[in-house]
Amino acid sequence: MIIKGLSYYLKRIVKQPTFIFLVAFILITSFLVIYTSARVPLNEQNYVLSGIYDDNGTVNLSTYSMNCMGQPLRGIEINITVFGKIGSPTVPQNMTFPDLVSNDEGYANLTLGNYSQLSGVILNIQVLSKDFSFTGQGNLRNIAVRNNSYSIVPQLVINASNPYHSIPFIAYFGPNGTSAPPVTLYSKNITPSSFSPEPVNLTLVGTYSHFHLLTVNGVYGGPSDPDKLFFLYIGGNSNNSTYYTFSGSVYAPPPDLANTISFMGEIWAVTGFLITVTAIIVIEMMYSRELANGTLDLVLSQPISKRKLMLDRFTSSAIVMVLTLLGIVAFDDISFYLLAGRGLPVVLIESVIFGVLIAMMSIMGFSVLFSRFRRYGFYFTISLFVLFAFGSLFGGSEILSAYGNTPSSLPAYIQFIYLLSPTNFLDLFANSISPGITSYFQPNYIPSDLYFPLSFVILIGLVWAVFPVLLAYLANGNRRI
Amino acid sequence: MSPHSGKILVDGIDPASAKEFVSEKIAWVQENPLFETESSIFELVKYFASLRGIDRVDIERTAHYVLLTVGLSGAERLKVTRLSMGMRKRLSIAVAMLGNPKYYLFDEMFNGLDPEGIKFMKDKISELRSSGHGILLSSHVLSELQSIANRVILIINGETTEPVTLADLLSQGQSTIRLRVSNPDEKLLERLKAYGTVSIGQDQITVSGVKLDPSTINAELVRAGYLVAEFVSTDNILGEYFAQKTGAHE
Repeated sequence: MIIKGLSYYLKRIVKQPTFIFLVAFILITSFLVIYTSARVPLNEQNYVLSGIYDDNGTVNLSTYSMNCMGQPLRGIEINITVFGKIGSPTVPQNMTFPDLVSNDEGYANLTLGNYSQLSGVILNIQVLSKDFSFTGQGNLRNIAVRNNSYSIVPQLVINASNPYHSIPFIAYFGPNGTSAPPVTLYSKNITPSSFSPEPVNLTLVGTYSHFHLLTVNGVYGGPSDPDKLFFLYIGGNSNNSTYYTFSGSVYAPPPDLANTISFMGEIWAVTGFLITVTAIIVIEMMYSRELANGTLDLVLSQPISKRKLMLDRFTSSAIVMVLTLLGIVAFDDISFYLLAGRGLPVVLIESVIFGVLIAMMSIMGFSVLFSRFRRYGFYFTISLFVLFAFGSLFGGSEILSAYGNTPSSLPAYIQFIYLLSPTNFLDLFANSISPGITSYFQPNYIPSDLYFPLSFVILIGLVWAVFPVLLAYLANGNRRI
Repeated sequence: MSPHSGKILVDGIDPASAKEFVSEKIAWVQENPLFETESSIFELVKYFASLRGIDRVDIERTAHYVLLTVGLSGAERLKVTRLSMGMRKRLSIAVAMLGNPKYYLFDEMFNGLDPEGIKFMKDKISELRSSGHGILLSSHVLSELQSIANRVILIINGETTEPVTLADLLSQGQSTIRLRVSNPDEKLLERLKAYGTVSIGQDQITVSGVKLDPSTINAELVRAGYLVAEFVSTDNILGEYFAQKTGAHE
């Protein structure tokens, strides 16, 4: 298929000042958001930070301080696994702190409550922020400084879903200048059911002096490896007056999240949404102006059919959209994924394709309904809704699965975009009439709070669809398009 | 756009049934060329060249050629918004020439042009005609039309008249002369009435519907001893014809 005037269309679209300005604006803002926000992917920071054991059989979970490096926390979810002897009252298995905000120094205090007579606890912390470090303080420190005995300090559990290739521990023991007993790092295979309060059959990893950056190299964790709990043992002596303060932080490298959606997904949702709207505005205005000032009459006097002209413009616009969106994806990826050591999630490419197709259908389909091409507008409109359906099935399920199928916990603006996005709103529609439709793609469920009334969904769709038409009318004044 | 009634045939073909085929044969030169104002001249010509189906490898060469033909060579990078009306019309002709169409439709080409622009357009139209192209020229400037048209159709209140050739109109004697004579006498009016319809103004005599060559009339008056101080042949054949037709229509 030969596209007549392709380069002309491409140049005209790209040269639109509005287009250039908005794309630049979106690129800059998205970069700033990425740069200043989560570098560690959202909702995937599945650190298991602490295995706590008290030889008296008592563990208190109280206040924890979280150092988020001056970045605002976007919320935190903590899954607590208790094993061994469980005390009373029962520790909640899941705690969510969606509105957790750090103070000016970058710390946020997290109160988990006090629970006694626990023999072992693992905190599975999911953090929605970047450069996150969890500093075990408070009760953990108290345990760690038990004198004249083995003490268990914040540890790191390595398991199949949380593999690490190196384990740096930073530990500080005792006041400056004081001598301290050697520190011994042990590891132990664990499962919650087999956990014993007594450290048995520990594997010696290394022995270190005080104040030391402990780095354990080697590959730990993997599908075939058992869960492993690392212990720092402070070899005690009989000097009761010696207290070893522990301020151990665990800085974990980014886990391998190649096949997951990250915070970038949210950035992309915003960026893609804005780009889509931008393209609709720019292209629609451009073609509307051409129609209004009579240029289209001259074009139509050339030996080209209306259908071919429509197809050429659609193709040209689509190419611009694809190149722009891919460029932005690449731009964002370079600034984000490379820093995180990650590859490009396939889901983003799918989003680009769906976004482009639907945006172009919106542009061409709905505007031509009211133009001299109205006969073709009908077909475009039908195609648009078909794309809506498919796009929604995939797009909606992807977003939901990215958030563990708990969209109600999403930030408000994400929920808004989720609803407004043409790739997703019909997903709600599809589920409202037949939840089974999307269950194939989405094996879990869509919470009932997302079952919006059908009229609301249709209203959103109409607003989205009418948007380019309104623009065309504005651009054309009183002239009928 | 579909016609409300009637039919137009181009070489026997109805454009409504073969739009692309007929469009290849006709080029439209607009009264007020409506090009995208932010595009450059060269971009536009290349774009329309592609619409005209010119081979990709020939597009640039063709674009340069047509721009050279209309005197826009060297202005390729100018945006349309910076062009004068005359330059826009030249650009419009350049675009029309792409693909070497058989027919040209010139729409009110003389509006908004200075004398030099009008001359250019007339020369260009004559050149196209002499090279075998058919020209359909619509205009309200009848005096200019008269100088280049050879067949005329009037559209009066939406109705067309029968086509007439300019030669026919000339043979029907439709020119007008205005003269001033320093030594008029009673016989002068009688003599002038033999040439056409005479009307007397304040200091001028107008003879319309003149059939003879105006120079012959002038020579006869001089030979008769009249001192002709002013002699102007308006030669408004089309104007007379138009007035005659509109009067007849009314």
